[in-house]
Amino acid sequence: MKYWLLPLLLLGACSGGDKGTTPASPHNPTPYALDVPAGFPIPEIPADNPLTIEGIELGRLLFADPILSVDSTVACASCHLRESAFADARRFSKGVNGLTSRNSMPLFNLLWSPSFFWDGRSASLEDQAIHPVQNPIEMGEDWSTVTAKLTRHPTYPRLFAQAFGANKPIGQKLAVQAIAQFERTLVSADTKYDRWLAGTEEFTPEEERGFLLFHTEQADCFHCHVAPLFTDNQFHNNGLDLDPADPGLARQTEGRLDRGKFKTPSLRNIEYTAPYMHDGRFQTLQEVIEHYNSGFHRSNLTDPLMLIRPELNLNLKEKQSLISFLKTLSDPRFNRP
Amino acid sequence: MKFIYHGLAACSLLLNACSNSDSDRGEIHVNFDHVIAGAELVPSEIRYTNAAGNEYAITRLEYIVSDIILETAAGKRVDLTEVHYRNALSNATRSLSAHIPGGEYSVLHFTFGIDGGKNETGALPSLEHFNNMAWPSPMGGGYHYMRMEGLFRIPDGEGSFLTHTGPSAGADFSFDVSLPLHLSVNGGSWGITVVMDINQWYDAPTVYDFNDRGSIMGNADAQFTLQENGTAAFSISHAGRHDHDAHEHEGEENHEETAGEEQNHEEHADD
Ligand code: HEC
Ligand code: HEC
Repeated sequence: MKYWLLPLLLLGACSGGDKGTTPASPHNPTPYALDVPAGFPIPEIPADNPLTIEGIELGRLLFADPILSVDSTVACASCHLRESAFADARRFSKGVNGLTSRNSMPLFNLLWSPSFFWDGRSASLEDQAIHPVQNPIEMGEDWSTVTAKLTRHPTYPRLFAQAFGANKPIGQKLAVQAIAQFERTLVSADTKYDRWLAGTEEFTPEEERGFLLFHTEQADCFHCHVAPLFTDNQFHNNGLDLDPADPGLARQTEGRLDRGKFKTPSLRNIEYTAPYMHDGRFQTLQEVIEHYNSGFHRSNLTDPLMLIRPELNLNLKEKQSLISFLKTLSDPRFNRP
Repeated sequence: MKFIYHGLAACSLLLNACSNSDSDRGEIHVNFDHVIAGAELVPSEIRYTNAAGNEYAITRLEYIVSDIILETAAGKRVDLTEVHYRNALSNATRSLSAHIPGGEYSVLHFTFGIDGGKNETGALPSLEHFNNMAWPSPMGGGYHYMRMEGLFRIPDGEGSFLTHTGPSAGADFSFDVSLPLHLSVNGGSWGITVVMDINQWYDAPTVYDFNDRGSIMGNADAQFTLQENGTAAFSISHAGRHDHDAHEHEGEENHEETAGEEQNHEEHADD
């Protein structure tokens, strides 16, 4: 028996059924059985917001609906595009009132993330979803106005009732719960790398070399971009700036050494999420690799893992191999419009 | 061999089903604390000096101890837990708890790291803190025993050191620690505090200089030095009635994190 079977069994036991087997009635939403990929941690789903087919569907609609913005022009999906693994191909995203100051973040495997935003300032998906609506640049709307718009909408009241029951008030709480449910279903683990791990597909020699560079001290990526999520869900300064303009984690902690620390991004689907870094400064993976190879700044803010050596000294072939390996982390379902 | 851990995880799910209930059974809490030069570790600032004269700061200290066992004066061994993760910069898993039979206990045993026979990739449950300790398969597989990282002064500013111990190229550099104590358990709640003196890792028998040691995961020589030096890093500062003050350091978070680790002992005769 493998470990990952345990959570599956438990989830099965708690959710009490396969997806889609019981017909939905307004007070009895259909439990959604989540598939946890082999080797992934046991996910924690808040007890007061279980996944249901109706809740997820409502969340999917709200996520794509500009009704959440002040002038009905911007949806969550405007800055989190499906074909970019729910990130944005633009360096900064366009909201109702100008551009964001950071690069949009991809949305997948967030079930396993303990904190949200580049600086980790939000502790749950439910809490996170409150902010873009109110952010004057992003959606510039007021939750009380959103509530009014949803309440008098021709279809949303019925969808809220199906997801949460007819006697619960439509509003911020249920809306962010539905969005969070939708986001929790964005699980990405259908990649060449995962099939290689399972022994059902081979790496090319170049991908294999890249895997080895990544997972040894030679390129030393694995200490922060940890399998299977390819993030440690921690905060690091990877030497982008000697004097970081954006304080990153230090805005939360005020720690002197936390300046310029940002949440380690997952490298899954990295092929689809250019541009790169919190400020989208790099357009290509070549630029990112060169940053780690020879371009990063050294100071007491730089993570000790990187400060320990001046350069990686990778040759052209090795850099290319690393990129080939990174592309084995692509899940094509996250590259579809 | 890795199935040992699997069995226990299942057992911990059925917490009560696995225990028996004698009236002299006690509850034991084992804390792991960290000092340098006699004072509690304060991370992040350069304020320490090791035997090589490196002036340094700790920015990360995480490690795994396993096979934690209490032994009675009569030689009966009681398993407390099979594997425990500790992060010195957070109190989340400062303490592990177990129920033990009454008796006179005289030694605490544990393995620093994970015994080579069990240290395989995937042997531990897929939890973030264990996954973040992974020792990748191209480097031999399994888990880091310890990730101690920090900054130290160099002539033109600050350099970094990474004291990453583990199964370099698959070799077993874990080591057993046995600490004498005196604990008579007859019901009630008991505490043991194990202290790691950080400077000992870098002191004797071999002085360890950050200037000479870079990334050491593939360096069997550095691993051997740390294995030899490490044994003396541990001592017991308290063994007696459970000190409730100590328990208060643990946040809310702690409950969740340790729930899976509160495992029941399995008694077995010394074989
Ligand atoms: C105008 C563009 C824009 C809109 C609209 C927008 N986002 Fe974002 N989103 C961003 C940016 C930029 C970030 C990173 C911001 C930061 O770190 O400060 C982000 C971060 C996030 C994150 C954090 C991901 C992580 O890994 O930590 C989530 C989740 C998210 N957005 C969901 C949403 C949802 C849900 C909505 C709609 C309610 C939404 N976003 C609307 C641009 C946008
Ligand atoms: C010390 C931890 C650490 C190490 C080591 C590390 N990274 Fe990163 N990586 C990060 C952090 C943190 C970021 C985000 C930084 C930011 O935006 O300010 C990042 C960003 C990236 C990005 C851009 C992701 C995105 O969505 O924008 C890529 C690609 C990447 N790293 C690849 C690598 C590769 C390849 C290696 C090994 C050569 C590596 N990293 C080593 C921590 C690390």
